[in-house]
Amino acid sequence: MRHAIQIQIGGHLLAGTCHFPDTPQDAPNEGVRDHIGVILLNPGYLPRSTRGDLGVQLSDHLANLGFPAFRFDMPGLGDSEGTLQAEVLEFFEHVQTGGYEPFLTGLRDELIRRYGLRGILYLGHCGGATTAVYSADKSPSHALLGMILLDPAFVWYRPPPKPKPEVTGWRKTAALARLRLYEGYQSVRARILPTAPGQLVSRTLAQARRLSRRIQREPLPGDANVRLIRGWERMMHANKPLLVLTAEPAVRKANYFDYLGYLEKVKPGRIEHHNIEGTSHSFVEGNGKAEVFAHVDAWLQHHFPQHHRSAGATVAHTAAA
Amino acid sequence: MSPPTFAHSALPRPVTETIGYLPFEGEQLYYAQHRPEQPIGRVVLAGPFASERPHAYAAWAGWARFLARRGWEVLRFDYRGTGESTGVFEAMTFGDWAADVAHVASWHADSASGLPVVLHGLGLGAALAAHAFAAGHGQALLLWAAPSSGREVLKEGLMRRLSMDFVMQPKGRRKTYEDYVAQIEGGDPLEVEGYRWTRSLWQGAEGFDLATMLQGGGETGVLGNRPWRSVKLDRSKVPLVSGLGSWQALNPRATVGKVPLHPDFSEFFGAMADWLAAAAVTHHQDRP
Repeated sequence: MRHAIQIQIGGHLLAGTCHFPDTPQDAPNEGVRDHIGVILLNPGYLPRSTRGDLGVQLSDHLANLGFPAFRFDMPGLGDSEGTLQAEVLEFFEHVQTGGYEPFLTGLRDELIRRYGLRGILYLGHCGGATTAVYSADKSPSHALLGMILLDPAFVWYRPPPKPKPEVTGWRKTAALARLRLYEGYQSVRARILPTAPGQLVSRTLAQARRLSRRIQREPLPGDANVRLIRGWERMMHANKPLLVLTAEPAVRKANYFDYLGYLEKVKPGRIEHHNIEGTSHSFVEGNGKAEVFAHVDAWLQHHFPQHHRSAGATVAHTAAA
Repeated sequence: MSPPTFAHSALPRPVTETIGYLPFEGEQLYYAQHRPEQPIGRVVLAGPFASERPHAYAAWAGWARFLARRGWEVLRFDYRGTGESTGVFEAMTFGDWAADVAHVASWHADSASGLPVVLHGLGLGAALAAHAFAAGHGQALLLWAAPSSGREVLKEGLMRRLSMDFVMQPKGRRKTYEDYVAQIEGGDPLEVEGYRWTRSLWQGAEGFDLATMLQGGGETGVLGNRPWRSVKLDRSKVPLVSGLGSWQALNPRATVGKVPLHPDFSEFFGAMADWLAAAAVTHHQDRP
């Protein structure tokens, strides 16, 4: 059963759709009390249905499994009030710096209160995953029970400009002092290095550097959204299940930095990751939709079996019933 | 009832926006209604094809809000089996969606108010709105990027499927346009941009010939005493039809430079709103 609703969050009237399991027509809110709800977050600047209506069909699927699903347009998108950025990259920066985080957190708390939900799961796609991670990190809640993230993004499409420090008198002096120190070091090094003790020191230092690199984690690439990744790292310690589905083609997998592998080292075994081949970033081409449905179903059954309806249960598919 | 006045239609008006579901043929049609105080007329917006809908959505909603600020009560909706509306896409045909337009137009008309109703279609919606207009719905009709026939809409969709294949499939496994047409006509559904196209969808698209429905081609005309206008959209209006294109969904990193997300269409919108107002005035003056 679907309902169209509007909720005031942070001064904006947000438009959304609720997908409920079969509940009494006259009191749908009562029918989802103590259920675990799922908030779906759209990728990019698309409306909440997303490309190929994946969001709609996934929400129907979740409702059929016994999990009420909620999809909302963030401010300025779809049917919601608000101003949209003039340029695409400007919009991405807004998302990548957590611009929608307060609205998601507000929605989460309001939906739990309004429907008496036992807890909430986030299901974010691309930029929606970014917003979900920011919300989980900045506003942790015992009611947030886990996350499903589709093709999460880790890099800046265009990094926000860093403020250039003003070169004042004392800064100039400090820079010159550093330069003179370095010149002195090079001069001493040139004299000591050819000697036997110098060779020994040099070898020892090289070994220490190698050991240090082995102990430390791999450095992140220059275009990494470090603030977001630190949020991921903190979230990994929160002991909540995470399902990540990606649609990486094999070529890209070989050439790009492995962010999920990097995060896996933070807390091994925390992320359940599946790569779906033969589909695109929107998961609608090829077998994308079917694979997403199957992985989400299995993950929910594994982590929330008491809330998961067994296969074959009779449920109303939509409000058409 | 006295005819509505259009004298102040250029002034912005306070608008309320509501969303909901309208029952029809056992399904629920999702709608968004933009309602100004004391509306001067009503507009039904028939949107583009399902696969273009998400990309065109922001501009389409922007147009609805623009009209509402000009005093028009605007209703936009999703066809059955697409977007927020219920129903199964595979079970739908162009005929079903034309029936959706006619049903929404009747519901929105509310004959007691005496306000004129204008139909406005974009892309596929232009063909469907023209169909409803030919059946007697609405007092004026505005079309943007109208296809010459329903089949043209599907051909464009197939071309996008082929371009996606070019990116995702190895050379030896790519199919041709003819292969796909044969597949659909043979009764084997084809997945295009997340939707399963059926033979009934393909065959049902053939009957929506614009010139036949409007009893003449060209850019303007009159059907009975009701005016219609068809506007072709140039490249600067691309976001109105297909946003930034489905190719971008494959790789957002390809979006470099200053790509407009929310271009300013106010000049174009203003000209179109002026035509709507004039068409509605003409209709009211012509009424017996």
